[in-house]
Amino acid sequence: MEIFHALFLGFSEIFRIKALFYCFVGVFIGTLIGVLPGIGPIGTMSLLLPITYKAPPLLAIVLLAGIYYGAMYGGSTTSILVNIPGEAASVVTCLDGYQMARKGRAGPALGIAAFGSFIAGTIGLVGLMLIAPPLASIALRFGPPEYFSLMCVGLIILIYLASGSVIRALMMAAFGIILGCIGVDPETGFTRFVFGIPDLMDGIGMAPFVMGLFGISEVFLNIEQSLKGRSIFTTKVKGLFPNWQDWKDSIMPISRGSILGFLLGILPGGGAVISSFVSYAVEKKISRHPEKFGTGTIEGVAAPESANNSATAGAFIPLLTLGIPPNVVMALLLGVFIIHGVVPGPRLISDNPNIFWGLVASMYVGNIMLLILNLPLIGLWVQLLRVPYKILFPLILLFCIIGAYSINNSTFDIAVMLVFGVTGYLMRKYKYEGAPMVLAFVLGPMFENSLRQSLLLSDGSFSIFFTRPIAAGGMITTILLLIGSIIPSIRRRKEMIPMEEKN
Amino acid sequence: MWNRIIKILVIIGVFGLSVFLFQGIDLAGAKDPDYPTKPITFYIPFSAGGMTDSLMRPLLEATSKHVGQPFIPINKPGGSGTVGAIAVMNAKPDGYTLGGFVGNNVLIAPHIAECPYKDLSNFTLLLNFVKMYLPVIARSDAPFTTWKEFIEWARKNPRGAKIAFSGSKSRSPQSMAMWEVEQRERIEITYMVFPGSAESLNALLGGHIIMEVMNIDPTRMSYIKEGKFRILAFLGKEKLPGYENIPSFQELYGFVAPSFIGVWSPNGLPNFVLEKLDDAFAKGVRDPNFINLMNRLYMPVVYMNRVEVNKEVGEMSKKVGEKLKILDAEEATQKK
Repeated sequence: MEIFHALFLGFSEIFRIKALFYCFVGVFIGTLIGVLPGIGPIGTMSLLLPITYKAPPLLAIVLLAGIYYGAMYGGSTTSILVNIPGEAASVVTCLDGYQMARKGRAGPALGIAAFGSFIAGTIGLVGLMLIAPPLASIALRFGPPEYFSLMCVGLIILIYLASGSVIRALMMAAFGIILGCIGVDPETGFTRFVFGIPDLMDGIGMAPFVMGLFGISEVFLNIEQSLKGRSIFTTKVKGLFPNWQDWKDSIMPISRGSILGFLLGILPGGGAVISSFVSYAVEKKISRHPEKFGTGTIEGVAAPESANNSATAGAFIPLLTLGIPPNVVMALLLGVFIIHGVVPGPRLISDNPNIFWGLVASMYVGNIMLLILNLPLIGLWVQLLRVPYKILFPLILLFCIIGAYSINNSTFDIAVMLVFGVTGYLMRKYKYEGAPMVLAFVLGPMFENSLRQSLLLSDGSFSIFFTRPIAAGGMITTILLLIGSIIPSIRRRKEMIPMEEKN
Repeated sequence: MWNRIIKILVIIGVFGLSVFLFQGIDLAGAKDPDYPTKPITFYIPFSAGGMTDSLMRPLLEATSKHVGQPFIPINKPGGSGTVGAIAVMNAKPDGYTLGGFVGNNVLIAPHIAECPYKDLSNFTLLLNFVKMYLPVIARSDAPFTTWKEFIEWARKNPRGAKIAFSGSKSRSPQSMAMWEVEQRERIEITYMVFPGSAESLNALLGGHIIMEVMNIDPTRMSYIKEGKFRILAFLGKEKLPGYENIPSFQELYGFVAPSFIGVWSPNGLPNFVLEKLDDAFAKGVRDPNFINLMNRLYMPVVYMNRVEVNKEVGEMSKKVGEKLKILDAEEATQKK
């Protein structure tokens, strides 16, 4: 019952003209920069930081938080329309979303992304409201060995991401791990693959990497196609909203994605990127038609988009209940809290209930605002696809270049994007996939760090992974998944041998 | 005849006018006694919202009213501050490009291969404005409650103490200071490098590690006040107000882990620019709002002017360089 009292307090804070205005500005800007490739929530939040100094604490936080989860709504737009991930968490949406757009189903894809994001955001919020403190204490039990087992599970799931040859996916994953090594060795500080370039000391930037690998390579492929005389988007637009069948197919992926994303978002280092990949792989594994994933299935859009939105709600939990930001955006938000004199942590709910509940209420309101914002825009975005490609692609390239530069004020990022654009183009011509590479790129460094830290904790013994309950659970899951993927091929070979003997 | 006079007058007039106009153009680029006449670019070597960023932006705001022009902060993260340093190094020394520096830039970076500068001759250090409290924080349920007890416990449990640091021994002055303590007290600890202070706090709260040596912030402070954590020692000279009974490394061992956060510029700024900046920043760091904010962030304002900061950086740099040589030799023998 007190939850409703508290929520009422929150809503009373938020249903004021000024507060609603701040909320709207936040989600509007968030959607905008989510759509624009490259510049993401962090860059924008830092630009608006000085303006928020003068505002009251709750409103400043509401605005900046709105930018964060608003960006998750907008990120899917360019992924679906032009295969450019608005940011890293939208990479997976490219896989099926763009294919749907090519078949004329961009409207339903965008619609399901918006609705899925809304439902997932709301589910995540309910979770934040009701079970934040117990979940936070579970997150604390995740030390290096537990993270390592989670990384093992994540890397195995990679296999399910592959639409084509598994061997090629593994090759791309290996390459992704190597790319993830670029930078410095965390233990000793020695540089790896840096070749004397200071910009590489922090590794390859995630955003220019995926923008190049997916977006720029697509532009190159399309130019090649149109040079051969074929036009790019031929099929007529079939409907602007998801139809009944789409909804039936999507409701379970959305639910699963929401829960999965929420749980993964709580873990520091987890977040929207990993949850989108994992939910896509899970959907593909349990689907009745896995071979259709990658050609334009609605589930392949619904699940990751839901996951990355509920992950943002989950990400607030460690920040608000423990004062530990699980990702870079939350770290910035933590800074805002502190500058305004509010210290997030176990005492936040008791000392500053109006801030906690005001924020929760603002997120409900923000999600509704975002749905209302995004749905009518779908018609607008779909029109964009009608623009002749020879006018569209220079604009795409321009936005990508500006976006890549704006992340770190660095021309090096532009170079990275272009290099991976060429790489991606060559990869796709020879049927090598980018998604396993991206996942391995994200997971590789975390895998290494958690392994080394775990071994430091255990003084070199590997048994630490099997003596701690959560870690053991993860390792056993990994082994089961591995066995599960090998068994079918062993069975097939057993069937083949008798046939050969007959001959 | 009148025509000639008029022609001469016109020529003199044009000449005079052009002399008058040319005075306004910055031909040499640095002879402008009205400096500054346009906004000053300021490179922050870390990403937005981070700890360093949240210190430098308030300083810029406080100083801009004394210098007469706004600062334009640009985040140039990368290589633990090296990318930002390079941006400052390559800028024109006209006083319209400045940057922030931290201890890593001036103490450690010159010794790393990837860093294009090997000494500070390309820079002019203008001031230092913050020194970090560097507390050694331990969980309250640890089997020791004071620094002395910790040393004794560590002697009996070699490599038993898992301590989080922000960088390895050759990359972080704090780890280097701890290594020095290891030598002197004949103990062995396990260094665990955590790239982010959030991950370290998570591990400390969750009980996966027992101690950490990271910068203090309001979140950690609230846990200390609640009794979950305890401060055992301070790596620097400064002590948190209210914790004066906790020993500092200066008292225990006679040395400190150096920490600097300051402002620098490319070398070669004209004197009147330097004086103007010295004056403006000296007033900026005394701004009561700024000091208030720094205190709330537990980052004490310790102002060192150009002379003082160059002297201390020079001394510390030498000491760090010597220790690095020993550490590198140690690494080399370990590899064999």
